[in-house]
Amino acid sequence: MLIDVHAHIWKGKYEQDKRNIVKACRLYGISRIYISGLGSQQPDEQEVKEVNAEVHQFKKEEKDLVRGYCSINPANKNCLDTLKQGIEEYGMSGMKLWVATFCDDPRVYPLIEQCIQYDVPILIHAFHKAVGQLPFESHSWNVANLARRYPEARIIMAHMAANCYTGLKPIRDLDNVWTDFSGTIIRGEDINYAKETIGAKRILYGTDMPGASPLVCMGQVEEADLTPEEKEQIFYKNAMDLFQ
Amino acid sequence: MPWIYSNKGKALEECFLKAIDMNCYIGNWPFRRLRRNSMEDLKRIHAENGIESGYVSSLNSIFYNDPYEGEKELQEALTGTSYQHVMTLNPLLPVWEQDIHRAEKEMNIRGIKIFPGYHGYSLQEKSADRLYRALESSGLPLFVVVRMEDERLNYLMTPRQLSAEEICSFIQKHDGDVPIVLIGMLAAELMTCGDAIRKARNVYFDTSGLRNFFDTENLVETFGADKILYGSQFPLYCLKSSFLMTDKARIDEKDREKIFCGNARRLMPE
Repeated sequence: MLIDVHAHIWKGKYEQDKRNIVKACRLYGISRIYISGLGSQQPDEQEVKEVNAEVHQFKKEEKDLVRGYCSINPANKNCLDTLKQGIEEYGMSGMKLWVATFCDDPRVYPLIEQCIQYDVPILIHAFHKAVGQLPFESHSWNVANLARRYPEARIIMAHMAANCYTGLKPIRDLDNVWTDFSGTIIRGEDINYAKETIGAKRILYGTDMPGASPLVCMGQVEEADLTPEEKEQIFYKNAMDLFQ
Repeated sequence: MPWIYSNKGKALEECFLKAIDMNCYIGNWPFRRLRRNSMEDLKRIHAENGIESGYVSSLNSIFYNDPYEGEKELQEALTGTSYQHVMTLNPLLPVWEQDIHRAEKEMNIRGIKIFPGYHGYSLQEKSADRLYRALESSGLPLFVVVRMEDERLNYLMTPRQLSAEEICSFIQKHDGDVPIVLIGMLAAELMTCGDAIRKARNVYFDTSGLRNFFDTENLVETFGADKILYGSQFPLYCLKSSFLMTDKARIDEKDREKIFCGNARRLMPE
């Protein structure tokens, strides 16, 4: 079994992304995939509504395969209502925060408190770049601040914050933070370093489809110094535990 | 268990010619610990993936003041193996022509690899042109490294990024008999340079930069399989990732065989 905890439908590309994601899941044996809708970096209320509706639609069309995250812009006034609609009406499995605000911005706090009430995980984009850092793109230390403030929250720090060597140490002692290694960074030692730093139980398989091929992340697990049990944890068991 | 746990793909089991890795290294990388960076490590991971041999360069040579010292280290490591030596060269250093002649005699080198981003020059400079001209007499292929790692991760040192314009210009100016192998280009960059690559009869590219949805399928469709060489960029990159991108691609089996080994054998005759 493979569970992908990190993939997207991009605004304006619904049919194309849906087709490619379903095709890839069938080809490569992914049996469950958690999708969030993304568009502009500072989406207004209407755009957030549209991308969440598309994820809901995808869920309905691929009931066995697709689960959803409710995408939120914490700067929008209606963000709590949006979360309520996503979880209660659309039956989504978690909340997704991207790059509209830092994840430890105080405007995020009520959303996290609501996710704790709903008992759902929060997927947070985190990326530490040498070039091209976005103005409100969270780093791992932003994620760590949030996780320390809300130890009851279950947080997925996406992409191992890009550079695992700066990304993982801030969350090392925070057991309420998991990480995925989705995306296009395929350094040969990242999974080994992640296992040594936070342990295999907190690593999740994610792809970042349609932005990356599922094969590159599969290869990283296959090549790492992991026991068969640890591979199974990363490929699906950890996700099953987290989303229970 | 998912299918991914199998070590070898269908293509290689059916292919009597085993795969060749056109872009791999041994040695140290200054910016992080490599746990598997020896010749033995390379041979082991290749064997695990059904890869028969490879064209190896030295990571040390990129950063040594005298890269030839790294070449001697590499030569020692390669002795007694079926692997081939690709020499790292910085054409800004003095008497590099002598280094090539010396290496041809002492080391049986099979190609020259350059790192303009790390050594601080453009492909449009005279030094790159002089190097290409020098190789016309030797027949050695020129491996042009476009990137070693994702630029977003290079926070301790910022190598110069090669532009599509300079790559295209270099290719167009050197449409000759010396094979040029572009290393580490992303699929989008290859598409940007599409016209130049398609028209040039001596230009190839490796697979180490492919990471996106159906990259291999798209590039085979755009360029044909004849220009694509399997290259892993191991140990900096995960070998299994690049391997799966070719092994599991939905392409014709003959094209897969070309990428894994056929093109390499044609380009680099024994």
